[in-house]
Amino acid sequence: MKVRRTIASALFPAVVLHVGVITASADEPPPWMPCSGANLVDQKFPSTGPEVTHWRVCWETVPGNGLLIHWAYFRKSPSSKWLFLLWDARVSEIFVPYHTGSPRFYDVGYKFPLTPIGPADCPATAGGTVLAGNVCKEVHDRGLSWKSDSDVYRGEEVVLWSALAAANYNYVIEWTFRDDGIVMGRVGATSHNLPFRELETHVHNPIWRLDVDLDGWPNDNVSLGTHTENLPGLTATDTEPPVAVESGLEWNPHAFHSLDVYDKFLTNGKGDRTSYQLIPLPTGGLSRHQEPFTQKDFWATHYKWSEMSASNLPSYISPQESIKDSDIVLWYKGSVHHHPRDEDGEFVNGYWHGVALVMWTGFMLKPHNLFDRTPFYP
Amino acid sequence: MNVGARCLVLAVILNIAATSVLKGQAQTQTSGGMKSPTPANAASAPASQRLPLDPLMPEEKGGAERIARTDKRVTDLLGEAGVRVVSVEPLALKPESLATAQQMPRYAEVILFQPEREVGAKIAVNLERRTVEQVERLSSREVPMTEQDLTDAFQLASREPELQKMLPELPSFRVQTANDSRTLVAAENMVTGLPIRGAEAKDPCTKHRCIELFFRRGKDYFSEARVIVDLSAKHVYVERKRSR
Repeated sequence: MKVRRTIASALFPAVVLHVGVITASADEPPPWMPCSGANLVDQKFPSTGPEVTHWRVCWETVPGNGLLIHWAYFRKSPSSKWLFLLWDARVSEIFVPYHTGSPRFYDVGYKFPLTPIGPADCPATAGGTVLAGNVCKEVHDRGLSWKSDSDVYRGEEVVLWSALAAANYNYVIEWTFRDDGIVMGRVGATSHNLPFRELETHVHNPIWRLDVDLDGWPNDNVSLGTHTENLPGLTATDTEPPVAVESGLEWNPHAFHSLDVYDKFLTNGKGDRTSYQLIPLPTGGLSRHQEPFTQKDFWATHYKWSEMSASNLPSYISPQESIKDSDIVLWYKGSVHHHPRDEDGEFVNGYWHGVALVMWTGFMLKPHNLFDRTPFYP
Repeated sequence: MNVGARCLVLAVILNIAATSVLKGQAQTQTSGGMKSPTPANAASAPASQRLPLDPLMPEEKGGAERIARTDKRVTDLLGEAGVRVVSVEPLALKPESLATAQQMPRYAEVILFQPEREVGAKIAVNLERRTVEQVERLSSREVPMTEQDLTDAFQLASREPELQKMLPELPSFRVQTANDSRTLVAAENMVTGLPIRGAEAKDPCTKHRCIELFFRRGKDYFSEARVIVDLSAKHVYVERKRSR
């Protein structure tokens, strides 16, 4: 085959490109997916040229929750096996308490529709494609992936987003799948400040439910990645205490906490245990409120089909079931602290005129020992 | 045949083979390696050819609702009269393992609500067997609100004299529907709302289903009054803004 490629490549490079794709994909055919048509996103990276990594993702829109991800597979190289990563990922609730104690809104508690998405939201010049009239898919450059003196590689990503029309607010729900295997979730709050309370500070708390099934289910485990400075002193240690039972956990930025999920049997080519780390990406901070479900940042629960509501989390972990070698769901609460400002709008004849600019919060799911070496490095 | 000509023939053969395999690959990329509808005809494909998480068709939604409403576990919980459908959405119930996922059937999740009894149910309907597989009781607070709740709340609020006084154009308002949000130009004088819960025992909305209403004129929102409707107690609270 190598000889044929060499001879043919001299005369017909385009033909050789075809042959290369066939050879590669014949090694590991794409996995079956439970969706089709526009709901199936199949994206290889780099987006042009020979494939290195590849995502296959199903999405769905649901009134209330907005844009969900069902099933996501990642392949780290054309000859590698497809890794199952997500069964279901969604915004379970967006809890919005105001500083005076009332109101306290549950914005996913209403079957809000999605806003329309058009070319102005999702321009082709930004790599955008409008899907089904209310979802934008963008494939684009994501900036530096790595740099080493004069060597450099710019990464790419595929981003899916939609917006919930939640009365006076719009919530942008965004899912990003990067060429290096990272998944990111973000919620952006925008549109009109609350009528009657336009100038009152409040917090938008999206709570994500992430059914991460590394290499399928069950056999998953969770640990709390923890960095400790041995003060007083100069040394530091990293530990990964297991989370053996269903729990709510606090994120400590000084400890670089991450909620790490790993499969009992899954290792990379070096034999190192593969995990995905849930890492908060807060903007400013993470809030605590009176409601018990807001008093932890991370939660780990055993999968049950009906346990979808973040406001019920304390009841989901009582009694605390074992989550060792099981089917685990991770939850994460982010926060957007909205201190109104003149940029949000103004009063005009008893009506509020203007919109708050988008404010974001989110997280990343980052692979650890998934690749055997630096991806996209020669 | 010289070497160049042989290479040319070889290249043509390879190209034909590549094209035919790529065609097969393109179908696989779309369908996930299973015989399934193409994007163009997925919506019109028979139910038997649709994949588990393809969007539900209107007839599937109607069928799922009928199956859910007539299940004995559901009627025992909700009764039969006055039961509202809240939503019918695709559902994926996890099989034992990923290896058996390809055989998983199409499901719908149906949420029903009985407002008089203040109880709801989340029901997993197997669309292939046309049976109910799971039923979960929902407290009224756990049942998502819909346009029906917003309509009920607006009707109650419309009868409130204090609000009529503050907002003389109240009769010209109408409930904002899902279709309204799909139009890029906002209609005049619409009502929207957000579910609200109390956090203290003395607040009726700690236990009841409550919604706060917002009155929108074009793109701007009326700011002079706060209107909360307790749908369980059928009570309207109106608060006037203090002068700034």
